[in-house]
Amino acid sequence: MDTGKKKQRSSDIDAHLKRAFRELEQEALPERLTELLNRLRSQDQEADEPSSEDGEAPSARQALQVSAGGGRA
Amino acid sequence: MKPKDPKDELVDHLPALRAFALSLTRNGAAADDLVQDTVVKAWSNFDKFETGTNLRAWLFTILRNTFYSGRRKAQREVADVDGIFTNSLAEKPAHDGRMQMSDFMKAFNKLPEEQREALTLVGANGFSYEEAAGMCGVAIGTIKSRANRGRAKLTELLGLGENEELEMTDGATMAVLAANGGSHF
Repeated sequence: MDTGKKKQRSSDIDAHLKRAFRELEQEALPERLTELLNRLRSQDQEADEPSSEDGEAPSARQALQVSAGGGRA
Repeated sequence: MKPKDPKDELVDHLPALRAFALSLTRNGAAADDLVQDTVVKAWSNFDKFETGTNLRAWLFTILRNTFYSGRRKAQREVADVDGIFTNSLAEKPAHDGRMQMSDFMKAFNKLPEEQREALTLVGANGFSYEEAAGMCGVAIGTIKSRANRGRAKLTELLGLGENEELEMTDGATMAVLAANGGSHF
């Protein structure tokens, strides 16, 4: 195959792949992912606010543990 | 203008991260677990992210490293048991016998993992060879070679002759895609 055709074929394949992946990206995100993000944001906000109680703000890992309780199969 | 907080941008990259996770795991539940772990790792390490650099590449690298380190532990590859990677792709009308997207992705799934990964990064996500090489920790030439071998293998698996065109889809569907903002294809 000559170089021009090869380039065209490569570009067609890449275009197919782009389209296939864009289709996958159109799927709704699982709730547990959006919930996890919300939880992480809340934790950050709590950590930024002066606390009236002792204790550290929960870590991102702890947010995952909470999320995993209601999410992971 | 103050740069946008990468934490706020994370959500914009989740769909692409999930698609990448699906291409690596070929399993819906495993992909979601992988994205979840990636989000947590990224969140804990945002202080290490260099503002102004490519956030998506940074997130993809975390996801990829998480996948391979997890797999090293498990020592097994999860198959596309629920067919989510191929079946989730919408079927297009086949009245003129042109190739279906699901056929294309079935062939894609048969590629060796390294070639699939290179094509996912460079072909599907538009990363440069340099970026993809950095993400995979290999030389640029290695990524180029993997991507080119992947394209050649795909052509072979799809049984395409030298002069055959790889049609995107039929005209009617292209019109629908264009009407829905997919005109760049």
